[in-house]
Amino acid sequence: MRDPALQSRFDELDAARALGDLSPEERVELDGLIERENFESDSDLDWIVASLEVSRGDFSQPLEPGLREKILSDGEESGGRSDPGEVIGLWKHPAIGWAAAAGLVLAFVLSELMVGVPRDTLSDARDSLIQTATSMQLEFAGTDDFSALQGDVVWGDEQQEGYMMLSGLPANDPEVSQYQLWIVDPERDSAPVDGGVFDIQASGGATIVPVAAALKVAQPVAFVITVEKPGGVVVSKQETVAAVAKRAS
Amino acid sequence: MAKATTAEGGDGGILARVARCEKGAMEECVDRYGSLIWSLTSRYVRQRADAEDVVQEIFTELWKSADRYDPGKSSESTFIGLIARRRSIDWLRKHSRQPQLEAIGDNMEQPEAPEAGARFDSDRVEMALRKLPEATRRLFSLHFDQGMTHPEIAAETGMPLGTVKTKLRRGLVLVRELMRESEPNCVVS
Repeated sequence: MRDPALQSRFDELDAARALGDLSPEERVELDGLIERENFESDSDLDWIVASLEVSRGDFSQPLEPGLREKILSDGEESGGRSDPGEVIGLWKHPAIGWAAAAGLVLAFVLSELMVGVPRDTLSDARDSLIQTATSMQLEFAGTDDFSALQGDVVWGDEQQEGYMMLSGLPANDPEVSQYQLWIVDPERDSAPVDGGVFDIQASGGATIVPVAAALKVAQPVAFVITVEKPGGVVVSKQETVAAVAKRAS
Repeated sequence: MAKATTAEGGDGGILARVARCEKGAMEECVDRYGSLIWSLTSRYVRQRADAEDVVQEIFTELWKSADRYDPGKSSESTFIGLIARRRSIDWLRKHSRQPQLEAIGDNMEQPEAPEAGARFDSDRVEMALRKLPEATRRLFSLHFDQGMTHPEIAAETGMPLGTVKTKLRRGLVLVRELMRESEPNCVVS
């Protein structure tokens, strides 16, 4: 039997989640209750809110001119029910993206912003970063099941910018799991900083993935790629580590 | 106030046709639900160009999720409204650097009440809502009927912002409990 006060607090936070008015601090509190006390968010609340919104609101505004054609064009290009994000091949699902390193919640979700960015643009940005004197370039080494992985990460402390170039990493089904990057920076905190969630598509070839550090990174000593549930996690249990890129000590 | 052309009862099984990739289904879906999605998204995403992007994302999600629609749970418009709200709120959170809501998916799979009609039919929700205190009902009306944000409601009513939030949250929890109590076998999900 749960503490009624705790249950009541969870219900209130879960309702706030459904209403879309959770503050960052409340989000941390809600996630803590889910993780530590095994509470589960209740989608019934989302359904009730959606029902209220749809039945009571004024929804008479027509689509913007030209938008209908764009929507249908997107749908046709993606073959109906498949996701154009998979075709584009960059980060389909945005990172939940707040750092485990601090209680602070700052979801810097670069991923969705990068969807649709041409590979050449990313490649140019990566090359440009490599040219700077202060950037570092570390080779990834795949673990047992990911031994085919080849690639590296380029990171600039000054720029707070980085790019992974990866090949040989198995394609993931974003509905089942996603890759997540972690940045190990003992100068900042013993817990790693979330570097973003990303997908690898089946077509093969090298993929350039921008690093989306949720917090400022000072002196990273390692970059770790893990396999996590869709959307990523706040704290990785590191059950599946795909690759590690370490700075020489 | 004008209501959506897609109001409850106006659903026509389009999502099942989209899920089966039937010719013309996507066009019909856009024509029927485009106004709903555009209007709902515009409440959250005020810049027109951004709203267009989000609406395109919502339809992409809809093409993927159409086969998950369950008429025993809700109307098509409520299902679509759920997707549109979540996508819009996700966008807001991303652009305020806050964490986003969880993706739709397994969360939508819930046990069904063993009675006829949709569990989240608007009449059932409204019936539960009518049992709330009048002051709370007014907050729901300002938020859902008039599309006011919580700070706008606080300004309108003179209540502290925290009180507005708390009353809406607790009201929503109470609506859920009242709906469960009214279900014949009291389904607990």
